[in-house]
Amino acid sequence: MSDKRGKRPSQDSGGLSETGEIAAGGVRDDEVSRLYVEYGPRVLAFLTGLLRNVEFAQEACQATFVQAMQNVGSIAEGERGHWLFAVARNEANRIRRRLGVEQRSGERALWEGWSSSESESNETPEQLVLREEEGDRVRKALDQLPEFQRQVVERRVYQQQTFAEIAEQLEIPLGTALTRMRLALSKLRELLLESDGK
Amino acid sequence: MKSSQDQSELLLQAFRFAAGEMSAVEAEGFELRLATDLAACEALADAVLLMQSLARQRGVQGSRPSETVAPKVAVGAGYRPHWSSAVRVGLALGTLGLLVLIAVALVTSDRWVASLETPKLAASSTDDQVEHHQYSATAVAEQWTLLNDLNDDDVESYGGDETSRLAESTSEVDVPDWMLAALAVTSNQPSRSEELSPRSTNAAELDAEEDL
Repeated sequence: MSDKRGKRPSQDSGGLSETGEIAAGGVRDDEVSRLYVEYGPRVLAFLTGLLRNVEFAQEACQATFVQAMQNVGSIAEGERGHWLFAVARNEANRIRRRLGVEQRSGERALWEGWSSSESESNETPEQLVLREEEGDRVRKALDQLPEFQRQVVERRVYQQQTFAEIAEQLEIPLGTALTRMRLALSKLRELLLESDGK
Repeated sequence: MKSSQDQSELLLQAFRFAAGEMSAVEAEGFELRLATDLAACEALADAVLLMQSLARQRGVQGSRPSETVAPKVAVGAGYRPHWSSAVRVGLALGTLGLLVLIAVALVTSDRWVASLETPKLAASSTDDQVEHHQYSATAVAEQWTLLNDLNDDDVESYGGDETSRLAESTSEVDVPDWMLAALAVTSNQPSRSEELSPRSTNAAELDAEEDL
């Protein structure tokens, strides 16, 4: 399962611009590259969810793979995913302790960081094309959702309403709103994430 | 192997955790689960990647969310109608044109009033001048008529020397033709002074008798 998901292509560099940097410990470059291609983006996403800050997540991700390079030879092939997530979680906790609990910023900053036009302005033409293609895929995936599910996703993601607010405005029980979101997320994961590995 | 519903439920929990919509107790419990459950870690990564994709899609095609949000903004207190620039330019030009028309009308009306008053004054002064000249010519003609009507006795009564001097001065005066013509005209038409002067009336009667 983890191997399948680990093959999903990268959407972000994860703060590791050069695999050679973390290969300084003497580990073979090809093994480092493969490890990062398989797990880098997912570890970075995991850290972003934990820290709710992209820059801190990138810092933790780099520290995670530095440790991975130093220990990759002693980790069994099937345990590397689990091992990486555990190390990443420890690095996140280390950053949290260093910065304090107040650094667990709100969700809004996370959304704004992802949709920031500032980062988009630095995109190369190739990155812009890839982003537009990704946008098309997401739009098509949203169009495949039933209306009542897409409604909840759009309100939650684009209007940043809480599930309680969505349930109140749509005049449905909170459990119904959560169920619709659950089904929508499952469908979107199938359409957007798992299809990438095919 | 977890069922599909368990996986989707875990994905929803991860989404709520990443979105910061869990209570403190729920979040603490989920983080403890992350320490031991690789599936929870994978679900959290998936949730974040989905959120990123959706957020980036908003950046690429921002019309979809804005279409939903727009009505809420539009009914707010700060709502203003979005007029096109063409309409705004048209209104500005119309206002400017109206101001120009008002200004031109004001200037023109002043000149018009002045033009109405000035000729009136000029005409009245011209009439006065014409009347004055006519009156002067009439007075000269009367003097000439009176001089012609004088008898020798009357001339003598003025004194010989004076009469001779007058005759000399008269003979010396070269009377222009236009004055004689004016005299003839005024003698045929009763002048204002003739109407007022009894002597002139008598002279006219004498002329009428001579004609008969």
